[in-house]
Amino acid sequence: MEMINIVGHMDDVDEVAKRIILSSSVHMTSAITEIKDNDFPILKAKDNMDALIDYYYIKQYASEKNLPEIEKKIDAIYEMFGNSKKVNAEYINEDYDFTEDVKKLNELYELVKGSYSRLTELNNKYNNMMELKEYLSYIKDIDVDLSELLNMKYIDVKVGTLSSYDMDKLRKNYENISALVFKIYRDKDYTVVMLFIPKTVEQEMQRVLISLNFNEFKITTKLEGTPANCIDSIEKSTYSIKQEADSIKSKLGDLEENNKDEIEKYYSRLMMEYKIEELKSNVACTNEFFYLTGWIPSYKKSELSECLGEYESKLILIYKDVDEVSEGVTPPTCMKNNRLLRPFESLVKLYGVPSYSELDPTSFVGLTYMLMFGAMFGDVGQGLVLFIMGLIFSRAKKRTVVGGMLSRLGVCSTIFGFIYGSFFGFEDVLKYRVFKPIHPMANINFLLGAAIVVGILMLTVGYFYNFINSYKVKDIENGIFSKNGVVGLVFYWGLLYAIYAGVKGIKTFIPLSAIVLILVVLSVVMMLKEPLANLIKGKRPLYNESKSDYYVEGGFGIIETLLSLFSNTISFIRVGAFAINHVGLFIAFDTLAKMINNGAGSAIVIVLGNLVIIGLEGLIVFIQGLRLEYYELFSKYFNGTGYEYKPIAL
Amino acid sequence: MDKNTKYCAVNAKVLSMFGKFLKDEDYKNLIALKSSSEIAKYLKDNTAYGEFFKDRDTSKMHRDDIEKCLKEGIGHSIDKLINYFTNDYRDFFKCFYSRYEIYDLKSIARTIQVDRDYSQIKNSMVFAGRYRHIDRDSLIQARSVSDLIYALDGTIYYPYLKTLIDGNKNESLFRFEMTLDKAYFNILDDKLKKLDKEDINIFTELMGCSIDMTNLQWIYRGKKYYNLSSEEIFNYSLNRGNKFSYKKIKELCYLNSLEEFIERIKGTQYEFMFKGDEKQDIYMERRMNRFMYFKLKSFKTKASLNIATVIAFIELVEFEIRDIISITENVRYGMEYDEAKKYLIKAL
Repeated sequence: MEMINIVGHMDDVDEVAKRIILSSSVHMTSAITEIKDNDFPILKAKDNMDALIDYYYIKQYASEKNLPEIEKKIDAIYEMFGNSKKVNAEYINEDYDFTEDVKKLNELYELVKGSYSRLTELNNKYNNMMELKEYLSYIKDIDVDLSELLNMKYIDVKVGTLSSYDMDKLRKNYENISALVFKIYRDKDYTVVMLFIPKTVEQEMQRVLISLNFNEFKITTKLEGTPANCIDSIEKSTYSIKQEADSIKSKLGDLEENNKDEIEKYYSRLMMEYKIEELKSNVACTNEFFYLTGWIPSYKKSELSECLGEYESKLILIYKDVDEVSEGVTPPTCMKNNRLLRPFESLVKLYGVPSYSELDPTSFVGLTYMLMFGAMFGDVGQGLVLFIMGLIFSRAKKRTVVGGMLSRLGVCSTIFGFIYGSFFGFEDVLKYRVFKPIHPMANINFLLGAAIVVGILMLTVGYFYNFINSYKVKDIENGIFSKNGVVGLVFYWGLLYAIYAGVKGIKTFIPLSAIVLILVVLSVVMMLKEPLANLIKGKRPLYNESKSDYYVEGGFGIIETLLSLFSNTISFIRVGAFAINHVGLFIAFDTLAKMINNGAGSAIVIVLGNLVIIGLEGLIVFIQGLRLEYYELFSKYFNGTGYEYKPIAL
Repeated sequence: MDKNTKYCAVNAKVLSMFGKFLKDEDYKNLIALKSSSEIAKYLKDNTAYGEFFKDRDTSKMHRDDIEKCLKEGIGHSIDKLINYFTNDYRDFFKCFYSRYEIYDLKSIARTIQVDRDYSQIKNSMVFAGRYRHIDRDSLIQARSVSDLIYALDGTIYYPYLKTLIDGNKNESLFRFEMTLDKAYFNILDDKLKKLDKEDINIFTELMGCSIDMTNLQWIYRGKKYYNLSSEEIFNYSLNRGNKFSYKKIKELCYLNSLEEFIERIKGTQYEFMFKGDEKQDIYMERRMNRFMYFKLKSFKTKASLNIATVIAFIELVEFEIRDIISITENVRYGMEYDEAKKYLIKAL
């Protein structure tokens, strides 16, 4: 990872930004902070004194473009056309001038707007009429000419809604209200009322209605005849409104056909403009020049060069290695793994992003996790089901991480299924010629023992990861003297050897007492890890805290080390246990099926059983494998304090 | 969930938060200070409100700035307490956020209609939009009460307010405030109905008095200053009073004269509101608050396993902040300790 600093003319900033985004290689950092922290090597610039003179008037870039306005217009057009927004890369890759596009967009918008506003007008009229029709429907059985009712000389008629609270207030005070209140519809939230108010008390009733929050429905259409007649005429009007609306919609439809590509073009370019502004918000600028900084992986430098094209010669590009950057500045971590192991990156990231100086554990995690999952799940048929599910997720539903992991785990389970000789739980289906299958239930002790051996091997590899990570940051204390260091590993193997020899009764190559003595010495060394490391590095003071605190902690540390060594090793027994448990679950369903003794019924039970086993065992095994990775292995060597490399891209 | 699970923990928390209130000593010291920046500094250095003044330069703070910081304090406290409740109770306590939002909205409306100092609108917004979606940008651009109502489209207040849009311009501020109050009590009532019976009763007993007094004050003002018709006064009155049910309130609304009204109140526990002295109207609000203050304190000491303790805390914190603001405003009048303490809610 290298730090990249770019200086260039303000006139070019948009185009340069676009190309950087297209190369999707630069992880942006704030230029103003870098300049303040002196990581911007202006003084080491190859040429161009003007940039230096401008240095003192540097400020943060502030966006002046009115992108939200443009977005609103595009949104409105999309709404009118009714298709979905999509970014099409080919429109961005060609050369264009966004201001020209904005002009054309405005023209299109004007064209569409006229029709659209007429459409909304018709829509409102339509809704108004439908509401009126609804109210009329409540009084449709009344045989009165509405035009007479609404045009009375001394009484005013109002229709509207009241909330339940206000209706309640009205009810409690009926005797003082100088109007006739006719409830025509009641709901749990509101009531529709028709009010007959004598014109003499109109003023004070108006005030009363305001205090009741009366929501009046103003009748704008001319009503003639009984409610039933009015409903009919409304239906006729709404029909003609619909006709007109439909014709406008088809006109819009034509417009859409002709301009579909255009609008996609504008939208894609607008999204690019937003990204450019996002990039520029990290940029510092003066009137003449802009200053930009970020991180770029070494292997992407040529890609960036290619995208910048002819602009590269107009800019000052400076690359700095990580060691040349000031203390305390860590680069983002770029996780690069081959296709087989890529889905397992998400498992690592779940715990934490690897720090820049750590080894990427994805390969180790991927391989060991697949091994453990396969061993715990082991079934040919069920493994195939997982594989197919994984394919569905990654192809059809576009969830590549979940899908990818499922399919790989499915394949591993199938392989182990062949080893265990299990096909959808049945152990007598597969025929073998090359080797004999190892049925879990029949080889319980062997399986459990094998699990522990595999566990010991994995733990040892974990130790080696710790050595390498500690070496990279020159951490002697952790890498050599701690319980996860070289001393710890020798202690672990020594202990294992002593126990194995003791249990099996073999003669050790040095007397047992000597081995125990060595182990004690090693544990003392582990307790003294801090002062020893500081002694070697020549650092004073030897102890970070008081001596007594340190030794008490150290003493407990030894006990904790012993216990954790035991528990971590034994923990791996669960790999064997779950393999056996998998078979056990199936035996239960099998017994059930045999008890039912009916062809179809038994088949259903077996199918159901398999589904339950896939779901339940799958989940359990997934979690248990993850726990082994995180708790037993990661805690030995993984720090996870990095941050992810996120290049700015569309 | 039984009472113990619900209330033991939160009551313990509330009682410890009570310990952080200002002492009598603090009040004395604050009244003696001569400027708002001194008050801000005192609060920052010597009280639990200090953490809300943390990054501020106290030498430039005025009354409004202090009020803003203190309101952050309330918001903070309510956030902490809300975490102890779930589901219906949580919804109920969220209404308190509404109350402060409404204070903000009322103050914005007043700024627009009366002061016409549009740059101050942003300062008034402490709560608005924090807990619920309110379009702050539209609020800032409002130039009249109608604009303000349009800006509130989509919020829970809009259904109550939309009928006011075409209303009489002169009355718009008054009706805006009344409608927001009605909205608040409506929302509160809705959420209250979902709580346990005991809590509903306690609430009615505790806050019912506040509602009673608000109704009485409202009827008094409606008749004396606003010349509203009896129907209107009744329509704006609130439900769920403690001693005055809607029938009694209705009777009071329809009385013909103010004197009859005050006669009726004599003999009830609220007669202190209408003592008949010359400063009756000025002191009325403070007398009401002081009545509530003593009532809330008694509920606080009982610390029973129901909603009262938490409500007492929230109300008392609000009173304390109002007192601090009163003291800040008093700086302008340079009152002596004995005179100044008459305007405080807390009885010193």
